[in-house]
Amino acid sequence: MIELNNLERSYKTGHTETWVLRRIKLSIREGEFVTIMGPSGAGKSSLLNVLAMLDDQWRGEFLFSGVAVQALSRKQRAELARQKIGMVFQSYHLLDDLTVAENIDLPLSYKNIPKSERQALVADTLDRFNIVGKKDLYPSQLSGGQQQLVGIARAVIHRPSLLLADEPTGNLQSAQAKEIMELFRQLNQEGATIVQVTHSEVNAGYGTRTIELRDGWVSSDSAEAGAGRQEVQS
Amino acid sequence: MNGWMQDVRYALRQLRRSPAFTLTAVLTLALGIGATTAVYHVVSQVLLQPLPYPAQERLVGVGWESAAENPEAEQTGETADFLLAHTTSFASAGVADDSLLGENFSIGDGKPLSIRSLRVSASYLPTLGVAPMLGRLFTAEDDHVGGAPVAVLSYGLWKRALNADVGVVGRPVHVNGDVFTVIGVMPESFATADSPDLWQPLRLSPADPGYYGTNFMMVARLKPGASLEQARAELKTLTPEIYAQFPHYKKWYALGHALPEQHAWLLRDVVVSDARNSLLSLMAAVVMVLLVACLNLAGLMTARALGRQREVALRMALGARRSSVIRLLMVESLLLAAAGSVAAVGVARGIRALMTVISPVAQSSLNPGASSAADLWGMLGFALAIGCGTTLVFGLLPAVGLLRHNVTSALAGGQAAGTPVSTQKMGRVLMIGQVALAMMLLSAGALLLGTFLNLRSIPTGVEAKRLDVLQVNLKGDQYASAAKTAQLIDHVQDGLRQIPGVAQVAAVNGLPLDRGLNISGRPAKDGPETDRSVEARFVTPGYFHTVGTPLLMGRDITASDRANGAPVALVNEALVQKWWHGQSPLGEFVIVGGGQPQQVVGVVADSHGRTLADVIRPTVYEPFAQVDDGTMKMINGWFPTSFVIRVAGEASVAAEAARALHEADPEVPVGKFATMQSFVDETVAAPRFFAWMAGGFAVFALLLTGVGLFGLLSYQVGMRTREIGVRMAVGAGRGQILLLVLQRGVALTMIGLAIGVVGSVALRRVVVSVLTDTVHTHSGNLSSVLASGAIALAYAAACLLAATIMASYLPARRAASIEPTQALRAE
Repeated sequence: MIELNNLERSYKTGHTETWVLRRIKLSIREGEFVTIMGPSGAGKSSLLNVLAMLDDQWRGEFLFSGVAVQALSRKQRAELARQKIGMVFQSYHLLDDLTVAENIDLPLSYKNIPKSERQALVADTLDRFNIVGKKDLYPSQLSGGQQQLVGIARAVIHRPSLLLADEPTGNLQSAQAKEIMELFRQLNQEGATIVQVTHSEVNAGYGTRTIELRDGWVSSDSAEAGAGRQEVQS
Repeated sequence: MNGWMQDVRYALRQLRRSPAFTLTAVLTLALGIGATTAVYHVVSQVLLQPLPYPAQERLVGVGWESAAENPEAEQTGETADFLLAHTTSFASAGVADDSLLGENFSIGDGKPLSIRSLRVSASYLPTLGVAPMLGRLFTAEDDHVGGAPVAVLSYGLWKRALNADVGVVGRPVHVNGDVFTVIGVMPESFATADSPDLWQPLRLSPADPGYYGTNFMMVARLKPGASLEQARAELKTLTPEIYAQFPHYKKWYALGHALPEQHAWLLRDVVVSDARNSLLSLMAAVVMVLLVACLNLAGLMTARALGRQREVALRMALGARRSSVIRLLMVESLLLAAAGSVAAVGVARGIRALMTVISPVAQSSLNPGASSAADLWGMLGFALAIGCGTTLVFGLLPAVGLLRHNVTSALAGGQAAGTPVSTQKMGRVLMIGQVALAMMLLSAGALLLGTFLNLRSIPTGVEAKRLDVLQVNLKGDQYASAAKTAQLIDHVQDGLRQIPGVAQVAAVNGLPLDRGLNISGRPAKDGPETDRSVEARFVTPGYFHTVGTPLLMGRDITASDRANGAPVALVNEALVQKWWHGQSPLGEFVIVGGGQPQQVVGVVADSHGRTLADVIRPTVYEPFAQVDDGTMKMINGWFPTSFVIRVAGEASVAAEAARALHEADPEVPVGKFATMQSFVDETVAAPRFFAWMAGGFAVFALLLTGVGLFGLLSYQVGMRTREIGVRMAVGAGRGQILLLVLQRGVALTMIGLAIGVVGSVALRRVVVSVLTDTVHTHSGNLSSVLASGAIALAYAAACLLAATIMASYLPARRAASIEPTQALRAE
C-alpha cells in the first residue's frame, strides 16, 4: 500500500539545515497495524505528516496504492488524502464550537456528498461508536477518552483505507487508553491499515509490526528479521 | 511614583514592539477624535459662543412663531410699529431691514466702492448696547422721514475709504450719488451677523414700499427684572390685538391653519437658527464616526489583552496585584490616548482648514461672536479629554473585563486555550456595531451626495458656459427715472460690445437664480379679483439670445419696443400653463402690478428663479425701455442690474467691463463681476458642503470599519491557527479555508448592514431636515430633488461589502496559506 524510497525531510533555519528524516526506505502492506516508536525528535511525527500528505516539503519517492505521490500536485495530493486517509491526534483536535455530530461530519463537509447522505453516515458512525447520546454535546463537555473516541470516529467516517494516529492515548488514563487501543485493534481487524506513533510499549503490543526511528533514520523494523540500522552513504 | 515610571517605560517598550497595533490604534484615535474636535470647534464657536454685545443674554429677537419653530425676528412694518408702541417688557427695542442693501459709496473722488448697508431704527444700535468709536449714533430726529441724510460707518470702511480719518465726523460722503453726512464710526470690535459697511436710518413709514411685507427684523433688550417668559407672555396677549387691528394677516394662512403668535427668543438663538439643525446634524455624524473609532479601539484592545493573558497570568503568579496589572494597562491606554490626541489635533486642523475652504458661509457670519481662528490649545485640551475618555472606557474596560476570568489557567500546560466564546461574541458585536454605524453614515452621505448631484443636473434654463455677469447697483435719485437708467444701460452695453472677444451683450433686472420682483398680475380680460402672484423681470433686446434661453413662440423684444410704443411683454412656459393652460397666449394682454395692459408678443423657455430646487415661477418679461419711473425706482432700490456678456474665448473681460462701466458713470462701481456658472454654483454651495462633509465622514467610518474588520479577522485567524490546521488535516482545501474566513467577514457585515439599514431609514428624517435647511425652496417641498433612499442604501451597502471583502481578503489568504503541520505542531 505504501512504498517509501529514500525519503528525506529537513528544515532550514537561517543557514542551518536540520534533517528530521534520512533516506527512509519502507514498505507497508494493506491490513498492517504498524507502530512507529523512538525517542523525542526521532522524526516519528514528521514521518506521520508525510504519510498523511499534510507535508509536501520532502524529497524521495512515495508510492501510495501505486500512485507516485511526489508526482502529484498539491491539490491532487490533498484530494488523495481526503479520500484515502484518516488522522487521529494526541490532543484530539476537536473544534470547540462544533458539537460531537458536527465534528464527526467535518471531513464529509469538504466532499461533494449530499447532506442527507452525510447525516446518515454521521448517524451510523455515532451508533457504531456508541456515542449517539452525546451527539449534541460540545467537546468541553466530554472526558478525554470520549473526546478521542469522537476524534477516531471523525477519522474513520469516510472509511479511509489508511488510519494514522499520532500518540492517540498520550493524554488519556490507562483504562481509557486501553479502550481506545482495543478500538484500533477492532478497526484493523475490520480491514483498516493503521500506522500509529507512540512511546508506549503496551500500545505497540496491539500492532503487528514495530518500526523504530532514531535521529531520522529507521533503526529497526520488526518486519525485517535481524534488521539494524541501515547503512547509508552520504 | 517609581512604579508608575516603570510602567510607562514598560508600556512604551511594549508599544514599540507592536508597531502594527500601535499605529492602528493611534490612527483610529486620530481620525475619530480629529474629526470630532474639528466639528465640535465649529459648533461651539457658532452655537455656544455669546454674541459680542454687553449683557447679550438679555437681548431677544421678536418674531412670529412659525410651525417649524425656528427662532426668528421677522416683522412687517405694521407689526413692528405696533410692538414698539405696545410692549412693556423691553427696556428698548429696535428695528432694522432683514437684509443688507448693495450701495455705491464714494467720497466724491471718482473712485466709488460697492458696499453693503443696513437701515436701522434710531434705537437699534443702542439696544444692542454698542457705542460708536467716533461721533454719535442716530437720534429720533435722524430717523424721521425727511430727516437729514446721515450715516454711521463701519471701522473697515472708515479705514479703507477714509484712511482712518479721525476728523471724519461731519464730513460728506456719497451714497448712490446722494450726499450723506458721517455722524459716527463704529469700533473694530463691533460686528453683526453679515456685518454691513455702513448704517443709515430706517425711517420706518407706511410710505416705504416694503412696509407691509415681512422685510424687517426686531431686536429688544429685556427690562431689568423682566424675564424672557414674561416677555413671551406679554407678546402672546398682544397677538389677538394684532390680528384684530390688521385682519388681513389672517389671509396669509389657509383656513384651519393655526395662526402664528408673536414670540421672543434669545437673540443668539435667532442669529444661529439657520445653521443650528445643520450643525447639530454634522455633530451627530461626527459623533458616529467617533463611536466607530471607539468600537474599533475596543476590538483592538480586547484582542491585545487576550494575546497578553499569559504575561498577565505570569505577573499575577509572581505576586502582582490585580490593581497593579490594571495600572499597567491603564498607562498603556493613556500613552495611546496622548499619541492619538496629538495626532488628532493635526487631523482637526486639517479638517477645519478644509471646512473653511468649502464652507458656503464664513463662521463669523453665522455668529458674530465666533472666532474663525483655530484655538490650538483648546483643540488639544478637547482632543485629550475625548482621547483619554474613549481610550479608558472603550479600551481599558474590555481589557480589564478579561482579567475577571481565571487568567492563571493560561499558564497551565502552556497550550493555547483558544478564544473564549464570550470574547468571540464581543468581537463580533463590536464589528457588527461598526458596520451598522458606517452603513448609516454612508447612506446619509449617499443621500446628500445624490441630492446634490440631482440639483446639479437640473437645467438652469440658461447656457452658463462662457457667460459673464457684471452686476451694478443703480441707486439714488439719479437712477429713480427710467430714462436715466435706460441711458446708462445703453451706454454700458455699447462699451461692452467694443471689447474684443465679446459676442453678445444684454441687460436684465432679475438675473436667473437671483431674486425677481414679486408682484401681482392677471390676464387683462379677467377682473382685478383674479390677481395672482407672478415674477416680473426686466430685459433689453437680445437678452434671451445672449443667455441662451430659447424663444418658443412669437418674437423677442426689439429696439422698437420704446417707452412711447405699445406696451409688450414676453412670458415663460410656466405662466402659459397657469394662465392659458398651454394654449398660445400671443396677442393676449396681461396686467402686471396694476399697470397698463401689455400685449404678449412671445413665449420663452423656463429658467430657474431663486434656486434650482424651487418650482419655476410664472414670469413676465418686460422691456427695460417701457418701465415707468415708479417701478424703475423700486426695482433699482431693491435689486442690482445685471449685464450679461457672452464671450467667445476663455480670457477674462472683467477689467474691460469695469472700464466700460466707469466711462458710462464714474460714480457707479462694479458691484460684482462673475461667471454665470458661479451664480449656479452658489445656489448649490450649502448642499454641496454638507454632501462633502457627510461623504468625508462616511469615508472615515468606512476606513475605520475596514481597519477594524482587518484587525478582527487577522486576530481571529491567529487565534484559530489550530482550528484551520485541523480542518486542513481532515480534508479542507485551501480554497475552502479562504472562503471560510471571507464568509465570516461577509456574514458579520451582512448582519451589520441589516441593522444599519433600519438605522438609515430612521436617519433619513435628519438628512431631509439638513436638506430643508440648506436647499431653499419656495414650497419647502424637496421631493423633486431628493435622491432615492433605496439607491442611497444600495450604494452604501455595495461600498461596505466591497470594503469588507478587501479587508477580509488578506487575513483569509493568510489563513489559507497556513501549513497544517506547522499549525498542529504549534499545538
